[in-house]
Amino acid sequence: MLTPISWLKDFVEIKLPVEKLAEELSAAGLTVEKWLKVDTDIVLDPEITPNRPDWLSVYGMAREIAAVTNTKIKSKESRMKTKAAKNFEIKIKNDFELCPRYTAIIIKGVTVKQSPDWMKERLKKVGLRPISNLVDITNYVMWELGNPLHVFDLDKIRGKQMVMEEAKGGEDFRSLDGINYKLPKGAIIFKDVGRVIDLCGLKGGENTAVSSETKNILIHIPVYDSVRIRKTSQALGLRSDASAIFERGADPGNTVRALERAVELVLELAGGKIEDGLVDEKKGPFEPWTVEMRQSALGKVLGIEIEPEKAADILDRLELTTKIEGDKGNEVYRVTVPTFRNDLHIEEDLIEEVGRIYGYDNFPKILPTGPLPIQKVAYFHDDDFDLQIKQILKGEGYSEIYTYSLVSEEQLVKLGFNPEKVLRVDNPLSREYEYLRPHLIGNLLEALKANSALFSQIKLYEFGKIYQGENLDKFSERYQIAGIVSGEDFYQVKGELQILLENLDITAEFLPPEENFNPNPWLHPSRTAVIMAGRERIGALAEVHPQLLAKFGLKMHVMEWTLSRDLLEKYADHSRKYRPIPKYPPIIEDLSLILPDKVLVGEVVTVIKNSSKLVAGVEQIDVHENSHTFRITYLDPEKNLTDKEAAEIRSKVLRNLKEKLKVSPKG
Amino acid sequence: MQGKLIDLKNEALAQILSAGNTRELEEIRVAYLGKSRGKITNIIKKLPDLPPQERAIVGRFANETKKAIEDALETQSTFLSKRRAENIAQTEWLDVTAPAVSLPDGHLHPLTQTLNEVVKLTNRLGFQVVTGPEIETDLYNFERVNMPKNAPSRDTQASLYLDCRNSKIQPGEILLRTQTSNMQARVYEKTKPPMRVLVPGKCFRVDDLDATHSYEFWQFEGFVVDRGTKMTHLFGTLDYILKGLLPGIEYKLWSTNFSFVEPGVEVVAKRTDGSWMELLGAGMIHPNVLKMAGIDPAQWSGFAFGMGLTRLAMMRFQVDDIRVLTNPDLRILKQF
Repeated sequence: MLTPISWLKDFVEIKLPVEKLAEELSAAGLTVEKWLKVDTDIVLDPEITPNRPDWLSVYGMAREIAAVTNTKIKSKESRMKTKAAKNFEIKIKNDFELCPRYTAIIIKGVTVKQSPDWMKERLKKVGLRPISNLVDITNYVMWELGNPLHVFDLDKIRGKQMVMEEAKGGEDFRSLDGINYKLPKGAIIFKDVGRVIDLCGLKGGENTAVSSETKNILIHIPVYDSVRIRKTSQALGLRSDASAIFERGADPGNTVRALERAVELVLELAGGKIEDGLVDEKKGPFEPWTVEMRQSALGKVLGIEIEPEKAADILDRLELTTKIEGDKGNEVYRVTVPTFRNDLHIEEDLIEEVGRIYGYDNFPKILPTGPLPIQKVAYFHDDDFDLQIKQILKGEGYSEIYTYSLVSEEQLVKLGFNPEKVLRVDNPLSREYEYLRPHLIGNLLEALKANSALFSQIKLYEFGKIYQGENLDKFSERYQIAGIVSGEDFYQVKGELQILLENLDITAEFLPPEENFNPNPWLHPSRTAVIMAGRERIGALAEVHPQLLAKFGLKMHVMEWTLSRDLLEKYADHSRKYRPIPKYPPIIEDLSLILPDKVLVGEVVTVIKNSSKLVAGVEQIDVHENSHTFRITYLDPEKNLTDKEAAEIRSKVLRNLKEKLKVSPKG
Repeated sequence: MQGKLIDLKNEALAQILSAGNTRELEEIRVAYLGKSRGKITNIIKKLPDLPPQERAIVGRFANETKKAIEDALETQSTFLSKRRAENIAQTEWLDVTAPAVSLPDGHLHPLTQTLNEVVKLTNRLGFQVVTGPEIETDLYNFERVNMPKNAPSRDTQASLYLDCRNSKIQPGEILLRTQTSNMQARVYEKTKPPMRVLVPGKCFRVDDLDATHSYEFWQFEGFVVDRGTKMTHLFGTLDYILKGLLPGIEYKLWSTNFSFVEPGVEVVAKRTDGSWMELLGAGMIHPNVLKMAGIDPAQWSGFAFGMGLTRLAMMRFQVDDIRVLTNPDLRILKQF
């Protein structure tokens, strides 16, 4: 909403330098961060919030400046006075559903020519192209007073009638700037006999536009239903200065005044004479309404005490006429709200008006008082747990990355996903960002690839949402933690994950995948471990399949792992308790065993451990071909173990190994 | 036997005196006095074989020899450690600037670090972190925060809608949340006030992808509902958090309009060139929002604030391009 200071000065005295004015207006909610100098003038370029259509006009801005700087607005009552039409030449068929107020007038005998320089200059300053006096006047009055209006060539309207209706959809319409449209269903239109002559609120029709030959005109100022204008505007991808006002809500109380201003300018600049009088159809009275505000509520919301006189003064400055009733401390403000402030309907709205003009920077700053709420809120998320995981990974040399949730079809296909069964955005911004990632591995591989030219050891992870499910009837989103590693082997990464899990107080095992495990196609078929806690799979560790790596242009060995954040939290058992250190010394011995093909070290360890309660620890300490050396710790918490007792356990261990796994000692 | 002991003693003492370090001394001790194969020990072990008279004499002599060697070891050891201490500056010099044995160097992402600061600060004020869906319904994302269908305020949050193929869902019903405010109504539904809540999370909007825009970005939203919550409490909370996050910040409170608050304010921070930059939006929770959630605005009031975590991280680390935060280049990551 470009607004020249010189135009504002028609209505309000401005003494402040522009920087100061901009700051004061911004603090009150009319954000002015930009302005430009045009010759000796300054043109403000404010950002208007959706709730304030009244600021989409020079007069509305002037009114705000008057309130903020505490000066008087110069009233701009039209010198032109109109009377109601007795027998309007055009039969208007209005529809209050679509247009709660409709005001129009006919002027005959006008002369179309160029506008005077002063008007042309003002229009240019606000970015409008001067066309002819009649068109320029409609633009000028809209800019000045905030009600959009349109001028028709009276003689081009067929059958002396204008009928308002909703488009059925698909009608052809050619706008006055020569563009053809197929009308969307629900668009508000005016028809004469068989023709659409106005795409209301957006564009006038070519068939009834004024031209250099125009002699007689009809000017109307409608107030259209904002929702329909907005829908049509969106459907056509078409916005105009007028539609911006209608969408937010044009002032239904101002149509007569704005039309009178237009008539005044027409008679002055184009000549002619009013034919008959004014048509003014309105659904309601469109009179100011009353909202009450309690002094007690003012303090309760704002947290400061503002004297009633001060508050009433602020409201009066905003043209919110105020009467104070009631006893001291219990005052009630009866506030009359003018029609241009359709954003003010409840007490809180008025409280905001007082607060914003009083100035929030003048408020004290107090921390909330009262006891801290201790109940756990719904959707609680233990952020400490997340951070703990991230800190451990950091210590292990992993760098954290954040990537986009939206991925390309190309990536999905590479990974072996069927894009038909992946959640998809209907209106993607590009094909690169179209699908919701069902896994973090794709972006991690791309990240690895991006770093592979410069780094040999790469350890990255992401802690982020994945989105699973074939369609919107059944889908889930959850936090996954996934890592990718080059420059380390399977067992190094396994060690890192074990430390992570131990630090989180999770007891977990790395096992070969279960029979029913449905492996992701990017996993190396014989180098995949599932990570089990309780009976649940909380994650997996695997080498990435060389075929997939080739698709990403990677040649080295790459490990990847995934963990479910929620299952980690579920299995984190923080019930650690102190155990006294053993009173008696252990007996430690090394046992070299020959493992037949496919017998797992994990199984051997389990068999040894389960052979006796007195086996306190087993670890593999050396491997040479199929010969594995295990260090076993025997310990009796109650007494000193004798060599003889140790020997007994050992023979039981060996017997079990032989029977259950066909494992025998070396040599 | 005694002769042999004398020879061994002399041999040992000579070796001890010429020993240059404690390791050599230990080797000498093991060679003569070691439990299993020490030369003196072996003789002492054989003592029981001697006739009783000789046994007593040799035994005493052997013990004296042992004691002499032990003393010499002790004396030489003391001497050596003293000498070592005297010369340590020269003999044990290290180049401390030589490279370390490299340990893994991991890094927390700047967004994680920034979020952690936010969480820490708000935790102290009793806020609890919640998370919730990014795939959201129109109801929670918009309607329940006072942004009815066709409200012009929705224009500022153009949405990415999900393809409803093969489902019973109607087009336009489910979208990627445009704001973390979707969690307000969700939390209100299941939690009775009072509450202090922090919602960090990813949001999505139709936007360009350039140095200052992204259609995926991180926000955090805080809200408090309690008896007698006032605007001054909002300002106190914002002041505490902003000064904690951005020490030395100069900011102002401007009036603005967001559908889900009334009154609404924005915090603008001073740029180095003196102009003001929008930092966050906030306000008193609109009574409609509370009413829709079944909370009586006559009894309870609240405030809410929302801020771009992405923007905050950019300010904290002076990142000038938003895409840096999603770039996995280790040359970037290793800086944090």
